[in-house]
Amino acid sequence: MALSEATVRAAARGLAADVVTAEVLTAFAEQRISGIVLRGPAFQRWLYSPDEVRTYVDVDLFVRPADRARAEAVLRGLGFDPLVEEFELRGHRPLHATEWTRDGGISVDVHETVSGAGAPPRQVWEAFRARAVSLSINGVEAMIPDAAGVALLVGLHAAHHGVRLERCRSDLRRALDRLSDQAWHEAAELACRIDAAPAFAAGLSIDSRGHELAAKLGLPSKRPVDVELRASSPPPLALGLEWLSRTPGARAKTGLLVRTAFPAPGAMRAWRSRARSGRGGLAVSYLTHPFWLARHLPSSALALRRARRTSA
Amino acid sequence: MTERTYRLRDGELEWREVEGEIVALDLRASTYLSINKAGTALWPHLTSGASREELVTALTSRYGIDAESAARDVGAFVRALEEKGLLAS
Repeated sequence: MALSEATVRAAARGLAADVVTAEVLTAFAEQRISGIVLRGPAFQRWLYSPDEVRTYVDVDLFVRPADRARAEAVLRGLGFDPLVEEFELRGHRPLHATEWTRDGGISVDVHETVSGAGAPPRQVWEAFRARAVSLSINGVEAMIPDAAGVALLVGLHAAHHGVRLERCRSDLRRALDRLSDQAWHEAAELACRIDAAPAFAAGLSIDSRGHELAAKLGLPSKRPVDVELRASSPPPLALGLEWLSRTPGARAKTGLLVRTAFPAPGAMRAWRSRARSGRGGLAVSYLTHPFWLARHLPSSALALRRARRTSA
Repeated sequence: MTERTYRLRDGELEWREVEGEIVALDLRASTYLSINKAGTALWPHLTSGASREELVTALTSRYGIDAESAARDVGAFVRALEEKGLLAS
């Protein structure tokens, strides 16, 4: 039977992502910049057989924190621009990665750390670097996490996107089927080393088998509110409300509220996909922003309340 | 007269095998295509370069079809690849 159009498109998209990965890694290598390819080809290597397709539509690169500024300069040299400039997110929740785009094609997410890790980025980098293994991507030698690193990333990715993203659930199911007990134990140790055990546990717990495994690995069953909230795939404003509650001082809180009501263009693009489709899309997003806020506020507040109750 | 060697072009062409079929990405034309099972059987020969006769033999030995049908299929396949600019000239 012929491949479905969706499978062919997914495979082609993965090929295109690999081409961009190889291009960026080659440019990084010329400047002696170190990067680890997270997810995409790494998940493909450890969780899928060679002729199965895992859809990946972007490139996730964990760059050594000390190399970040030079890495960004290289990306600009290759024609990429950040979706959001750093100053546009001042006061908002810090991002663990920045998305770089080029002509609407494959984007590159530059990771400063991994989502869910509480340890300083340098410590997270060292932990992953120490376990990295080599993989050829389009003829370019790349570093990817080992099986334990992938096990941890699968859990953290699930914790980041939550229970509603089918891809996270299917990656987790595959990881539970395919990775060894040793890999999971080492992943738990790694999670503790980078202060990611609560998020790892939350991610595993979106699946019943994962929930049992988290208990077997001795991971914490009580999690911070933000971790609990994320893993529930909350409405768009819920994490912002949680961040607001943690922001100290009336002045800073007011500033955050003002920036949420009247966001910078980059912040708008980060929040709403429509804002990414040119100036028209951005204008429409600004016009509809008050309604968007009003629509999502009640459900977001409820989600936060639920997460607080579960976390308590 | 020497027989022509058919070979996939170098550069800006990527592919991988998925569930027994080739999916190719033509970066020059920004298009992708899937190659059916018969084409997938010919693909490794086209990466290293093969004459029409060798391609026909590859198909007859793989599928046990007669040489005439195989020659027709090979002709159609290389023509399609040529039209898409995927063969080295």
